[in-house]
Amino acid sequence: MDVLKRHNVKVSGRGSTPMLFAHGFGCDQNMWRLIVPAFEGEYRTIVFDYVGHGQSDLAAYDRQKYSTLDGFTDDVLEICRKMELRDVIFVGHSVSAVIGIMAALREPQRFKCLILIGPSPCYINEGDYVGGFTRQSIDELLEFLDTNHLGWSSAMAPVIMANADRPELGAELTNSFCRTDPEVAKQFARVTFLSDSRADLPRLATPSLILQCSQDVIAPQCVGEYVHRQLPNSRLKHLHATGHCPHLSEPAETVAAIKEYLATQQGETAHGG
Amino acid sequence: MAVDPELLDLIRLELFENAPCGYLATLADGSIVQVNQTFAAMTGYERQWLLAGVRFAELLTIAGRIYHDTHFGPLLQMQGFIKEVAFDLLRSDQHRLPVLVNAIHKPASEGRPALTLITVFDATDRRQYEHELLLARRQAEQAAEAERAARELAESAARSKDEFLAMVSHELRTPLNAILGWTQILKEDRGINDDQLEGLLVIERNAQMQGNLIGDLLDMSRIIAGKMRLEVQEVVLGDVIDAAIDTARPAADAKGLRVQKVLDPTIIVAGDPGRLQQVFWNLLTNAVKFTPKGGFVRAVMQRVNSHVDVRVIDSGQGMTRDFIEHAFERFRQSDSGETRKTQGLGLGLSIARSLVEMHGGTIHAMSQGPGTGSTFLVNLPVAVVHQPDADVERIHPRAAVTTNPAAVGGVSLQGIKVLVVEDEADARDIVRRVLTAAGAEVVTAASSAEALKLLDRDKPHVLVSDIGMPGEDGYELIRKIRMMGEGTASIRAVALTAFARLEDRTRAMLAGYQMHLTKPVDARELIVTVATLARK
Repeated sequence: MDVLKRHNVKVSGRGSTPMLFAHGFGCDQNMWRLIVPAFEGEYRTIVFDYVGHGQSDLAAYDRQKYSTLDGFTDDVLEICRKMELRDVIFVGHSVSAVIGIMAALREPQRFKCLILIGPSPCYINEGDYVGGFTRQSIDELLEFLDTNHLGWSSAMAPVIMANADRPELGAELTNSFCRTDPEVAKQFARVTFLSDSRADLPRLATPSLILQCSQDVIAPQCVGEYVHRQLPNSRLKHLHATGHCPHLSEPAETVAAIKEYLATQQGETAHGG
Repeated sequence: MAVDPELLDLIRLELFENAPCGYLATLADGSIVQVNQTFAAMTGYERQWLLAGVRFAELLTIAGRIYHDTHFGPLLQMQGFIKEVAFDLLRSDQHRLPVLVNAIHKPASEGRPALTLITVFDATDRRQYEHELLLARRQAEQAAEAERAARELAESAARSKDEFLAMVSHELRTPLNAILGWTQILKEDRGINDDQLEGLLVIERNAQMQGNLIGDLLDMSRIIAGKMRLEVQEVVLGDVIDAAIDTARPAADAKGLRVQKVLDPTIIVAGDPGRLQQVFWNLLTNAVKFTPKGGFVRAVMQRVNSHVDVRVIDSGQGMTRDFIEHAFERFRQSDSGETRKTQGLGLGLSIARSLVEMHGGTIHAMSQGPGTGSTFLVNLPVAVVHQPDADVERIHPRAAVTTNPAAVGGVSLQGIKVLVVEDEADARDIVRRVLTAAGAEVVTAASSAEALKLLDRDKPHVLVSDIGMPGEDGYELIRKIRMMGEGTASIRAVALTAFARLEDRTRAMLAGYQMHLTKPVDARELIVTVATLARK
């Protein structure tokens, strides 16, 4: 199957510089609904779903391939190759921030810069490192996902409803949003929350922006600061937005932070060129 | 009557505070701005503490908090509402309370901040039921899985048993073939004396007896496996019984028993002639076996309405009531007395009953007790065939009626060229001798490969081939032949094999043989078969 079809790749925007948006654990490309329009004027915006999420091809789900983050990284690079993307501005949320780092390590020439929203290279506390979770609490999460599938599937069930309050959210959205196969979600959670890519951070040369929320349980402030220390050529921006999804709760603030950073990057590129 | 607005407010407040579910409202950053008494009680915290900037997610377990931030929050933001999400509340005493949460998102408007309105139901019981349901489903799945595994095991065991029986019968029949073949050839030899002829007859009889035992074993296994198939046609029952009597007669003659029959030639039943003959042969052989010298064995047939009764009566020593009850069970023999020796596996009556029942009939054993003789009554439905003559003619033939008028001995295979394929030298030799003696010109091959060469060279009229051979078997051989050039491909072929099951025969026919003979093959049957095929 065509890779673009497999990942339900959607392209919009009037610019030429590609901006690739990668969703995190728990959702799909609709996560970016409130962000992408702000960039369509200047950039070529690209969104996609990981296999097993949203409207991707579930038949392409391969437990073996997606048993580590490498499988997801392969997919990101495959999309880039297929679309012949260069100088990509990669915007990754949560686990996708780490996937973006790994993709840029493997094919640095493809990426211009990385926007990392709520990144965490390791969720579990270890020695001096504070990831925010004990091993026990992560095990508990995975067990919750394993045993709670009645509640889980109820929350995951597609909801078709005309949304009077939010007309910008069409039926298509409410249809597919967060519609993840429970088995896929369980494995993605396992891969995400048990991953440890701390050793990879210092090797990254690609410039990056870290967006750190307030009161983010999943990626606490100390983790954002750690990532900033470890990533050469990175900037850290604190947001007022609370929780783990600033692009949903405070889209305007998120867009402004990204635009501000991209402006500085353009300047730097101009100097360099 | 107008109700006092203050009263309405009081009612609203009371309903809010004492609702059977927890209510709370949060701001965009998740902090709680309003809770009802029920929710505070659920958590065990003071209302004041909850309202001092606590976020709803902070009241959840770690797992719930992650789910809240990755699913619950985004869904609520994008969709405007969320229903029935299962969480665990972490109470002030650190106990967990299973809850179901619904929420509605109210965007900011007219100076009012964005609000999230949350309803929390105690789901302790529901979680318990869910848990039990899941447990029950898991157990059912495990039980189904275990049952499937057990069934597979049993099926595989049954299959290997069937295969073992087929193999045993093959192995047991193959030597019989050589024994019977040579006996028949030697019997024709005019140079042997009476003692030697007597010896040959004993060998032949015993070999045939063993062949029958093997047949019984196979039949029984087929019946048990439900694989016994009848080839039903319209059968003149009298002829079938007659043929059975003929088969049992030598043994009766040897004991000096009188064999009498009263048959009705007009009665036609729908059945498998071979299997019906087997039933009566079994009953008659039994009767002969258990009747002492000088007694009699009788077969009496009578139509009763739409049924026909066949009684096989003997003057033997009869059966006890106790034995009659179990007469048709497998491996049951009336051989408790030392005065009489019995043979066989005790399968005959059991097979007979199964066969009769497959024909829609019944079988019963009767006896007045020891010393009074036995009667076996077979009751079969009569086929609906219109017979013009109303009068039932009863025949009382004398003892020595021949029922097999076709003189097989006279068939000649003069001018017929036969290719015999058989890997086993003894078996090959017997077939060659039998066919040569009948006048055929015989070439032999020890393998399929050799046979294919000879086919080209000798252009035989008829192929007689074994099935089980090393390398290419007889199925493969005939398939190859059928795909060859015009002349060779149409050769008449008979499969000669110790695979005696019905499905083996079907398989041979499907592979391309016209006839299938089971080892040990009767010499005359082989000759007649070859002659018939050559004539076509």
